Amino acid sequence: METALEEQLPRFKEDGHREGDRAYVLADWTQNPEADLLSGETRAILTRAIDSLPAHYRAVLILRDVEELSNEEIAQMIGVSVASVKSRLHRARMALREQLTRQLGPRV
Amino acid sequence: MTCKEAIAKLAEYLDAELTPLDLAGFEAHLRVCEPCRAYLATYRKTKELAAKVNRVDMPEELKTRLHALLVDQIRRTS
Repeated sequence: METALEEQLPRFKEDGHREGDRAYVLADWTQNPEADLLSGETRAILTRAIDSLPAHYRAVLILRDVEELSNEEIAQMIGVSVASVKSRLHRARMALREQLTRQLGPRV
Repeated sequence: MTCKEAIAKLAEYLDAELTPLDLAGFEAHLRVCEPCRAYLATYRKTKELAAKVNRVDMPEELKTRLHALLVDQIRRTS
């Protein structure tokens, strides 16, 4: 099911700092063994997060990060600017990162 | 550089596409900003995990068809 991507992007205060309590903005789960092993649970979270992306974000993410096509190749294939490919890719990654952090980061 | 500006540059940083000036500003910000270091680490890891979880070996012909399908999906939804 698609969820609003906007809800999963980082929010910023007026001074440019990221919003959220300290434990949350400092959450770094990259050394968490679940992330390394891509355990069943992490795999399920990630698959769900990818499925929940709007289709045109999901497709760009897969073409770039899984299929490893270049931004330029994708732009040409889908008929949009390179800037638009980059923007969709970045937003898609941030949304997935947010989902993983909610699950693997500190409970808030 | 603020956190907001640094996070906006992450993808270009990972692709080594920042101008020398932006790169210097980005790295200077990271040195003093622990939340942005955490953001960068988790962003990079997310990209790796997404690749791993979805990567399957498939014949070239099937890959071409997958690309066509994805392109079609984008065209229909954007």
